[in-house]
Amino acid sequence: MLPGKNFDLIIFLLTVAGMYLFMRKAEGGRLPNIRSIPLLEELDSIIGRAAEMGRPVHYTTGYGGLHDEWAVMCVAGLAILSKVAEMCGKYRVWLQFTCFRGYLVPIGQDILKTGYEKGGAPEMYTPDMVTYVGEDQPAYIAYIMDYFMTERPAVSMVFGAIQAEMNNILMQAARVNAISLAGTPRLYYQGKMALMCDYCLLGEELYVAGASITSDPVHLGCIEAEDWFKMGIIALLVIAAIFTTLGMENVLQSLINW
Amino acid sequence: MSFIKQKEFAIILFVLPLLFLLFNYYTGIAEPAASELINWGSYLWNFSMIIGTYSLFRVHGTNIAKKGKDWSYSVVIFISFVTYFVASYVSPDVFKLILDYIQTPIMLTIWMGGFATLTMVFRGARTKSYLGVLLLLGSIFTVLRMAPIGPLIWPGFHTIGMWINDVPNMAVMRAITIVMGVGLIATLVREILGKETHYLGD
Amino acid sequence: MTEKKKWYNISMDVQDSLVYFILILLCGTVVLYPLGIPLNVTKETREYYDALIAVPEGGVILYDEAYMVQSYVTGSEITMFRMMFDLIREKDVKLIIVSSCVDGPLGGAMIDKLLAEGVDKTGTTYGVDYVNFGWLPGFELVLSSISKNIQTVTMNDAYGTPISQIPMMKDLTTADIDVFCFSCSVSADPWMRQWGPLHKPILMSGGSSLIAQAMPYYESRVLTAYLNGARGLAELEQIYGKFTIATALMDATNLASLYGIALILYSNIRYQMGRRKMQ
Repeated sequence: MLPGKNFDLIIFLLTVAGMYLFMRKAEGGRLPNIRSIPLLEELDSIIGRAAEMGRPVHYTTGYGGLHDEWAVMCVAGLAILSKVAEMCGKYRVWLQFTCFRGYLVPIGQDILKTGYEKGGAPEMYTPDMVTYVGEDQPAYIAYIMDYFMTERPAVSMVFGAIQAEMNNILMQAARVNAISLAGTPRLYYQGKMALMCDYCLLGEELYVAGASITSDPVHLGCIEAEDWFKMGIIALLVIAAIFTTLGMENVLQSLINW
Repeated sequence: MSFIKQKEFAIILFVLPLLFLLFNYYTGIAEPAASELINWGSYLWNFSMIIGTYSLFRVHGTNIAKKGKDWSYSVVIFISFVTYFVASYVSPDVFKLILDYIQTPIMLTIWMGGFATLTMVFRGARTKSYLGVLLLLGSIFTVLRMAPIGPLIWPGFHTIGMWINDVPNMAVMRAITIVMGVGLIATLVREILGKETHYLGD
Repeated sequence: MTEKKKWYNISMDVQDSLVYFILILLCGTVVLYPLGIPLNVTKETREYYDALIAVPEGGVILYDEAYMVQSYVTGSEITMFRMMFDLIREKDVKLIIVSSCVDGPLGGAMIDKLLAEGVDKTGTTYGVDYVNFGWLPGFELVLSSISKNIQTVTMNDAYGTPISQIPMMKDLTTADIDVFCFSCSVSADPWMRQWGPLHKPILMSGGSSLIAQAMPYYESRVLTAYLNGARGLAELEQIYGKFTIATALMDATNLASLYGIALILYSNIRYQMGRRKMQ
């Protein structure tokens, strides 16, 4: 074992073991109690509103893909997309999914097709619902801005790993009076989402929303494990603060560097 | 051949290198192999660009063949792609010309960072609650801390702006960084256990 | 009876055009008639400058140019490059330049532009004093390669020369690199993840919002120092003594900031008045 990584390894192994146990617990039927997320509760009425107005819904998972550090966020975004596609099928609303990565095209088409079938409108689905304009961010932004101005969607949804396109999407949504929904754990955009969006998922709520939408016991078990893990981190922080206040930070340092 | 097409093979192909890299991270054993594996990640990243190019050609090629919506722009995409691609290899001067006089101005126009932000705050930044007011006040102090004119108007802008940066901002950033890290670990655990299959398109 | 149309109830497009026009007018005016508002050098910029010039004699600096397209156009990082080349001349420092920019080959183009147009390279020799790896695809994979073994990051430099034939790269390892610098247009997390465990000075330059995100790393001293956005670059020029575009943009920054705040206040006051009227 490399010096300085033993403590790290112990924490990691405990985390893996803990998460496995909670996943097994959830798979055994004992699902955790997830608090209600306002965005998910209002999703039905929001898409219903789009149906009444006869305008489409625009959805994007943002800059990230499945190959980079933002894969987790993209996966959560795709999970929410599946639910949105089902609801759009139920209300017979056009759902336009703009993706940034080429490999998301077949995945998106698959998700939309399945969603519309579950919603009871398989004939509405068409591959044109998924748009890909290349992996250049300005091109992606330009397409979305143009779509907003020409098609004037009633709802704008941005869930995933969002980057600078958030500015332009929120701007255009405000201009066409679309309802703005967004969710990303990315630090930079928490304030913008909180200020500009009608409903948003802040921080980890995106992962929780993705898990509760799919009702996948594995994901839900992980959510519960993550909460316990966070409690453990808070406990460590408190202990570290006490040790540091007492002037014993060397003890902690030697433990961390063990 | 049939096993290669199965989901389990893809999961094995994903999990084994992951476990190896973790093993190398904690033990330091087989460092050259781990470095080479990471380099192969870069090579695969390049291959994903080929997939992206294929998707682009397929989508827009189909649009041209069916004379679908705005098919003429699809033709422009093809011509631009081929010109840029050939120029990058054959003529670096032409490549630089395209970069300096076409691509960069277009990118800057689309970014329109300042304009987009202004329109965004002008149209959408509405304080619907007391927390919204607090958020806006915090942002005003932060903006005026960064602008050289802020401390000239009132030195308190710098003091309060720095406090906002050093105390509540730091606390929130730490919290969200920890949360993101926890989410990453959870995904890693699910991937190691083979429970995470969204990358396979499920 | 029709309600008399108020003069400010103009169409949305005209409103937006007016907003942009006033912004362009304000920023354009200060380009022609600079205000010359004094700029205080903050402690953070001073730390960055001190950390950079503290590189030991014969030391190695690695610079990752991953900033965004605005930097390509304005070349606002020219001062950092000038400082590093001064260090090459004064302290026999070696410089490795690479770009892991997520915007693609634009990062490499930025390096070429800065090297070609802004830097005085007299007294330095390519391959002996500095090397340019150019833009490398893979983003965090490049950073990870750098942290493991600098020799395996790329096979050739930006101009096609094999790394093995570049004199300064002979026997160079990651452990020999004394200072890591980077400028980024995305979150600093990848750099901190990959370079933090090396326990070497890491200097960051990026937008002020990205600096805000990186504050936990600065507080825990993983990140040694930072330049806070455009203002940080302007402050660096104040210390260095030669002024370029970064300083010139400060007047426009001042006016644009005040204008933005005025717009926010105006739109919120109108919104609240409209709400009261409806109630």
